[in-house]
Amino acid sequence: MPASNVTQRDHRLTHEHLALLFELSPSAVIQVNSAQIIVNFNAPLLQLLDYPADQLIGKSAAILFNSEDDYFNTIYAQAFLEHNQTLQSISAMAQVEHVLLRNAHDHVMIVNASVNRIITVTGEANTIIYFHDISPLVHAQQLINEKNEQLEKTLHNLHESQSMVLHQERLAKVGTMLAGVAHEVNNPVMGVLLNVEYALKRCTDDKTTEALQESREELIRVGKLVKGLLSFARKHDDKPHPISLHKLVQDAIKLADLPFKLNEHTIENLVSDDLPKVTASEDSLKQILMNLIVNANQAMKHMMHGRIVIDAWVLPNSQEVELRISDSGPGIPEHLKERIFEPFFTTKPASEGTGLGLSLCVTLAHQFGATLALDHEYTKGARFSLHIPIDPASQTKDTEVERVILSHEILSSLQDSVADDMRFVMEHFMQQLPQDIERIQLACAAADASSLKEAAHSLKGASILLGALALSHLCLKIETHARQNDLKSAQALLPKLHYTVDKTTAALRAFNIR
Amino acid sequence: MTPLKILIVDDEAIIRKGIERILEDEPVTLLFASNGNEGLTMAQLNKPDLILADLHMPEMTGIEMIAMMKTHGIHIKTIIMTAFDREFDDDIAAWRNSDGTDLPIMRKPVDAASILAIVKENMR
Repeated sequence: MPASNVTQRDHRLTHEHLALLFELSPSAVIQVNSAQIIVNFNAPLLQLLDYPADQLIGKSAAILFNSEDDYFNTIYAQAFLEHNQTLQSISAMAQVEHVLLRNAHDHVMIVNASVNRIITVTGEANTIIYFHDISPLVHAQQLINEKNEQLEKTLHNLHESQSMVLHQERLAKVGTMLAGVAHEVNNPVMGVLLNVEYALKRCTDDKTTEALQESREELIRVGKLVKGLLSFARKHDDKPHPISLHKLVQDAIKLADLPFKLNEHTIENLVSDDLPKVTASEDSLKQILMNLIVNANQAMKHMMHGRIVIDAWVLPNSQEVELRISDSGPGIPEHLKERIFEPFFTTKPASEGTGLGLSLCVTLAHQFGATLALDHEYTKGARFSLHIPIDPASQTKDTEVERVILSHEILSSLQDSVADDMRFVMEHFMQQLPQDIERIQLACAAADASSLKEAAHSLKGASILLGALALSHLCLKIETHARQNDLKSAQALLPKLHYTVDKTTAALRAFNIR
Repeated sequence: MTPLKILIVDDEAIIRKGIERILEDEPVTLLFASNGNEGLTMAQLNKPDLILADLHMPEMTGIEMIAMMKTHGIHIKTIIMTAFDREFDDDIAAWRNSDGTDLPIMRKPVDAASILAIVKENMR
């Protein structure tokens, strides 16, 4: 007798037997006939899938599965085994892992299925499937994976900060060494430079002159390189302390000592005297500002009447001051924006820079808890912004100018509900704004108190409507001064007005209004 | 016009010689010293119009020399030339010129054009 017949006879079970086995099984189990209709199941199955008993009998077994694939992979698992395996393993159950079932409420769950074919007493081939719910296991596994990922991230961060510390230690050592080296190098460099220049003056031979000229340029470059490396690696023992930004910016401008007269460029320090103090390393901050100022100036070297503007304000809802350095140069090309903070990245010719400037600034800023970034929104040139922590002791309650420029709640509710007509007002406001500002400026310049009053009043109305609180407040002040014929005080508010308008339009843009 | 009398105080011979070469056609008389001590003596004896002094020198530094000049009542405009970056700026800022003005600082390497510019400026 062939072995397969023995196996089949062993499985020739009556419905009574099967029903008893089902009842005794703690696992969910169903019996499916050759037409793939559910003919039997047990209580744990109902529990697992949350079906009422009367909804299953006579239904296609496919309704229990998430997809046809899940169904066929399970129902034919045994046939697959029979086809491929030796006869001995036919009696073994086929295991199908990670089958997706769909319960009565359309929720998907993951189970492992054990599939076996039996021949009933009537000679029909049926399939018995046991389901083992592994959703909790899978869920736990997911949690473990997530935790692992977190751990890996933490580990990675740890490695990074470790290498950062090592890097800084190395920098400190290199710095001490370089300070000595710089001194030893730049002395002879100066001697040689003077001799080369002397030879150049007396030289009448074109070819020799050319050679000397090149030597001269390279010597100057060596000098600059040594200084540049020195400031990159210099040991900083200046601890962060409370600093008044207005004065520091003034110092940095003086130190940068730019040849502004050449192109008739201007530099303005609009940083208010009453801004709260920040906590920073003075030398580092000065160095950063100087670098940014020098860069801004170099960016404008092919133009006339360039402007560098430095301003600052307290960031709303934060413990930081934003210090901004803006120039009116050509700006940074889009494809370079990602790269400008890389060490040794430069757009300047070799003789003008080592490319350490901006990456040095980032390193220095980090050392006292500040961050330096390029303002990607700014389109009138290049603008860098430094976020510097406020000195806890000088945090004032009165941050009138710096208060939230736009009432965020008003605007966001506008966006959600009122939308179109208010948006129209805003569009109109944005278009009108430059003209309003110009009217105010002209009225100030012409000392025309009555038209100044009118212009400020109209801008005030529009800004109240938009919830631009700082702007409306400022307009009210100007209006009041104009009413009292105090044009000098009104005029003094103009820089503040420009600043606030700038901030307001930026905030409006951030709300995606234009 | 009497030539401008300039005292160069630097311990590096190549710098003293280099400045001398650069200024050979200018209406100047040059005096040399290789440290602060010598510089002080030369300043006392010769009363130069201008001193170009290095900062870091053996025996007596540029700053010490200026301090000594002050105590000896010698008032001569002095310009510091240094190869240090900004390490001693605070010290320099604390000391004034012996005539009370700020001490100008030039960072080495100083090129010929800058030296000629200083000379021209002080001739006026």
